[in-house]
Parts: sequence; structure tokens; C-alpha cells
Amino acid sequence: MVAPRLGLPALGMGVGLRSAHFRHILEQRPRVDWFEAISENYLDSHGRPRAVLDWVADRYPVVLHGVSLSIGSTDPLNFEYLRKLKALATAVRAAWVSDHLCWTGVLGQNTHDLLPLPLTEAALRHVINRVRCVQDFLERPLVLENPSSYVTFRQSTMTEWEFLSRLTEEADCGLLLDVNNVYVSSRNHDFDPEEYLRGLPAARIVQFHLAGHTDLGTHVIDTHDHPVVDPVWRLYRQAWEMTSRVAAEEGASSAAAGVSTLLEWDAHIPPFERLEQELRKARCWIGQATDPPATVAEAASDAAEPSDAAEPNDTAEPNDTAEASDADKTIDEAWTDHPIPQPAVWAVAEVE
Amino acid sequence: MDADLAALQAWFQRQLMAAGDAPDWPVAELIAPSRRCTPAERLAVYQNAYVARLLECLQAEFPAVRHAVGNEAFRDLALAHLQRHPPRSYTLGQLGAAFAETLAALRPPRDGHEPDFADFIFQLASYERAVSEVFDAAGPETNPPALDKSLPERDRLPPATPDQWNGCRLEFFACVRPFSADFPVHEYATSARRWASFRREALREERRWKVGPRPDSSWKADRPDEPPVLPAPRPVWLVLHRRDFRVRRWEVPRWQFELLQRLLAGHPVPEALEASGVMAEEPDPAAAVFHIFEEWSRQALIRRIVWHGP
Repeated sequence: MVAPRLGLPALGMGVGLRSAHFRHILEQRPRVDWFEAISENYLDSHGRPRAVLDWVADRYPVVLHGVSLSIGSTDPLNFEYLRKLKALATAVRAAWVSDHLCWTGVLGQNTHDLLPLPLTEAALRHVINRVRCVQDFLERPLVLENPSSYVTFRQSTMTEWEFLSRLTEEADCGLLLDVNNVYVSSRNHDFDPEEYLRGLPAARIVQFHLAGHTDLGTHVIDTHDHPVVDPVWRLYRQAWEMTSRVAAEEGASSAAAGVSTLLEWDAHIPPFERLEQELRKARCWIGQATDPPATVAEAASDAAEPSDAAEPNDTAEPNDTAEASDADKTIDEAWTDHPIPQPAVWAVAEVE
Repeated sequence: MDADLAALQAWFQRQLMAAGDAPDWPVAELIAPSRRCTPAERLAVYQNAYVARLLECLQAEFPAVRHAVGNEAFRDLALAHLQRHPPRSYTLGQLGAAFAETLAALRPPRDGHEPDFADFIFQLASYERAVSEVFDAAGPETNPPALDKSLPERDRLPPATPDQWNGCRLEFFACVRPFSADFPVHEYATSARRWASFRREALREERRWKVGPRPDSSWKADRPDEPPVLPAPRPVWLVLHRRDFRVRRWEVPRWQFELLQRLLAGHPVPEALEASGVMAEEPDPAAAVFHIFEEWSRQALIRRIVWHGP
């Protein structure tokens, strides 16, 4: 019987570390429990992003969350990448290292998207072997996230929750349950999200992700640019109760029973206080706080307000804090015609 | 490796990277429909995202190039870049590494000997890329210079035996870059960023005004009224550097640029000085050299001095 969360710590409520908030974090030392950093943004940084991550790691627990491991790819594993990842995880004392159940490219190329796998026995065996290899190299458990997906391969022979259950059990790895992704995929693939949650091995869930999405009617895109919606909050509560039950069966105290929760917001990034507000809502939904959560309508109107996070400061040139220049898109009408599924995070240079 | 999985992934990737081409296998045979979307519509989510995400990253790294050529042309150039240099790195930070190379390859035939618009765009892209590289390179902030008192005093040059002096080399931080161009691309890039910031603020102001009382307009002070225009050719020699985690750049005389280039390439100080042109260009070469070494030390460009010889 595996220990709840694979024995990894319950970190509480955290947010994704984004450069739009660096200044606020350094000046205000916000009262969040932990931060999750996108690994690839720091692997090769010898400048400010890495210095900020080091500063944060000295003061908060940090988790590394990757987007380029490409665990499902049929290309060989990139050991140069893994070597850098291992070194970074050691340097910032990462509580754990996570990535996605996906592939990002083959034939030496990287699409920088989280591409879907066919859910077949062969794909399962392929991923299990690679997870074992990565865990051996990193000398720590790997935690894999269920991605949002938009296509169903005809050759698939099992559900995603069955694939994840067998993968985590047989490879002995952890699960990062992105509750929003469950909802997004349930809409795109016409399955019952509650059945999905019930089919997962609760003890393997190390972390939750929460985020907003864009509902296009015919399908839903995982854009991380809105508040969390009520159906996702309800799924979150269900998942929280599942994991709490498992922990209780193992005799964990209520304080140690929780699973770490992380809010992601990657486009149209609002001021940090808005993220803290969303974390308070999360606490309310799982009964850890008493003030009532804001309604979805209120939250949506908040998000529509102009963001102050990308305001230029007095001493730096513009473009200093924006993750990906979201404001430009609104100036130049529609730069892209389509919402962009995450990930699309990357730090731009600060110039004087 | 599973051959079926490899074939499926190669097929899927081709559909993203060559989305305009006809699919080389019927999409509906591999992808099932959902209740509301056809297989092709579902695949299109990934096709659209691939292009949109990478264009977004390129526009974030090259805002001045985008301003100079306009949105449509920038999109065309960026798409051409993705065709010529499909991303291979695990980091999006490498996506723009060869963008200037793409622009050089696509430039129209030169008309005359004077630097033209295509040269300007190429050099501007090279400059913006250099800024990105300086931003991420190792710098003095977390690894302070190890100069101690080894920088020679003005009246004690050379400070060592002739052999030591002849072997003396300077080691710079990795974030130090000499850069030259036929146009003041640095000024244009700064103006374009300023203008983009101004436009962003104006847009936010407009939105606030729509939902509440008109706020104070003092934010407009010291802001540009006009977008930057293409500069006339003017040769510039720059030093790019980072301090306190911000990229800085300044113009230098040509001899300083060449001196820095040679020193960065590992040439000994006397040899680099000899070849730099300082003797011909400066009335008091010793004073000029002392001044520039002192300035480079003050700006934390020099990591350490390496003495060789007995």
C-alpha cells in the first residue's frame, strides 16, 4: 500500500511563479504557502529569473513543473535536459519535480505543445519504461499531470483515468491532478468528469492544479487566463475529499491530510492579490475558510479589469515584466485568431 | 520504441508543422469526432496553437522588428522562420536564436552600396537577440568581480615585468557583448519599446475611463507622442552588458569596440591595444586606456585579470 502523496509533503495553497509578479513577491513577500516554477524558464538562466527563483526558494517551498520532458515521445530521452533539471531541483531544494503525460515532439523537434498520446497498451508500456528511467536518473519520484486534450485517437483502447492509474501504479510515480484539465477534457471528449476522478488512485495524487479556461461552446481550451469556474471548484472539492479519505484511512492528522494545491494563471495575468483571492476561494470550497467564495460573475468581472501587473516601472524600459506581451495583442487587434492552450510561458529580457 | 506510436507521432507533428498542406493520411481515420467537432476541427486546435504560441514568443522577443515591419510582414517573416528553423530546443528561449539569420536569407537583392531597410531589420533583430542573450548570461550580480587590487594604478602601467605584461589577459563576464551596426538600432529599439508601453497604458486608460470617472492623465508626461521612425544610417559601436539584472548598452568609439572584441577573443592586453587603433585615434593613448579599463571595472564588465609569465 503506497503512502498518501507518495509520502511527499502537503505544502498547502500555492501559486505559479511568473515574472509578472517578481517585483510584488520580492517587495511584499506574500503569504502564500509555496510556489511552482516552470523548469524550462530557469534551466539556462544566469540572470534575474534564476536569482528570483533562488530568493524564493530560500523563503518558500518550491516545486519544479516542466513542459518539455516529453515522457511520451518516441525520441530518446534528452539526458542533457535531465542533467540540468536534476541540478536545478537540487539547487532550489525542490519538494518534487513534475511534468505532463504527453509528448512535445519527435525527430529532434519540439512543438512546445503538450501533445496527446493514444491510450493503448503499447503506449502505456512505453511511458512506464521511460518514467522508470527518468526516476532512476533524477533519483526522486516523478509526478505526472493529466493534460488537457482536444483529440481522441481511434486506436485508443482505454480511458485516460485507467491509463493514469496503471501508469502511476506500475511505474511507481505520482499524479499531479489538474482538475481544470479533467473538466476541459470531459467537455472535449464527452466523458463524465466525476467518473474520471473516481477512477484515479487517490493515494498517488501528490498535487492539484487549478486554473481557468476558455469555453468556445463546441469545445473548451485550457488557456489559464480566467478565474476557476464553479464546475471545476466542485470537482476540486470531490478530489479533495477523495484524497482526504485516503489519508484518514492511513491515520494522518487533519493537518497532514491535505494535498498541495496550486493555482495557475498564465495569460492576461492579473495583480498578485487576485491570485490570493482565488486561493481563499479554494480554501472555502474545501472547508478550510469561512468567508464565502466570490461568485463566478464577480470573479469574471475582476478578470476583465485591466491588469496592473504589466505596468512599466519608473526605472526600466517597457516590456520589463510581461510574460508574453498580452497587452500587445489587444492593441493590434487580434494578433492571433485562436486562444492559445498553455503552456506559453517565457520570460522576456529586462532592459534599461 | 513502438513503431506504430512513432509513426503516429511523426504524422501528428507533420500536421502541426505543415498545417497548410493537405494531410498525408485521412485525419478521420486516425482521429475520432466528438459530439460537436469533426476530426479536422479537433486537430485544428493543435495546428492553430502551434503557430500562435510560437508567434507570440517571437513577437515578445522582437517587438522593435515587429514595429518596424508591421504586423502582417512580421507574421510572414515569423512563419518563414518556423519553416526554416523549426524549434528543436526544450526552451522557447532558443526560438529566436536564428531569427536574424532567417531575415538575412530572405532579404531582397541589394540596390546599391548603402545600408538599406533589409540591413536595418537584420541588424535590429540581431540587436534584440543580443539583448535576450545578455539578459540570461552569467553576470556580476551573483558572482562578483575578483579584481581585488590587481587593476594597475595609472602611474604604474605596465605594473609587472615585460613578460607578465605581454601575457596579461582580461576575463569578462559572459553578459558582456560588443555590438556594431550601420544604424542606431539601440535607439530605435528603445523608442519602439517606449511606444509600445505608451500604447498599452493608453489602452488601459481608455478602458478605465469607460467604466469610471476619467482619471488623472499625468501618466502621459515624458511619454512619446509619435511612434519611432526609421533612422538614417549612422555607424554605431556598442557595448551591451547587464548590471543589477537589467540590460544596459552604451555607445563607444570604434577603437574601444575593437579592443573589447579582441580582449573577449582572448588576446593579451598589449596585443589587443596595438591592434585596436587607440594609438592612432587618441591623443593620450595611455590615459585613454587607463580610463577605459577603470570604466569597465566600475561597470563590472571585467571578471578578473589573468597574469601569465614569471
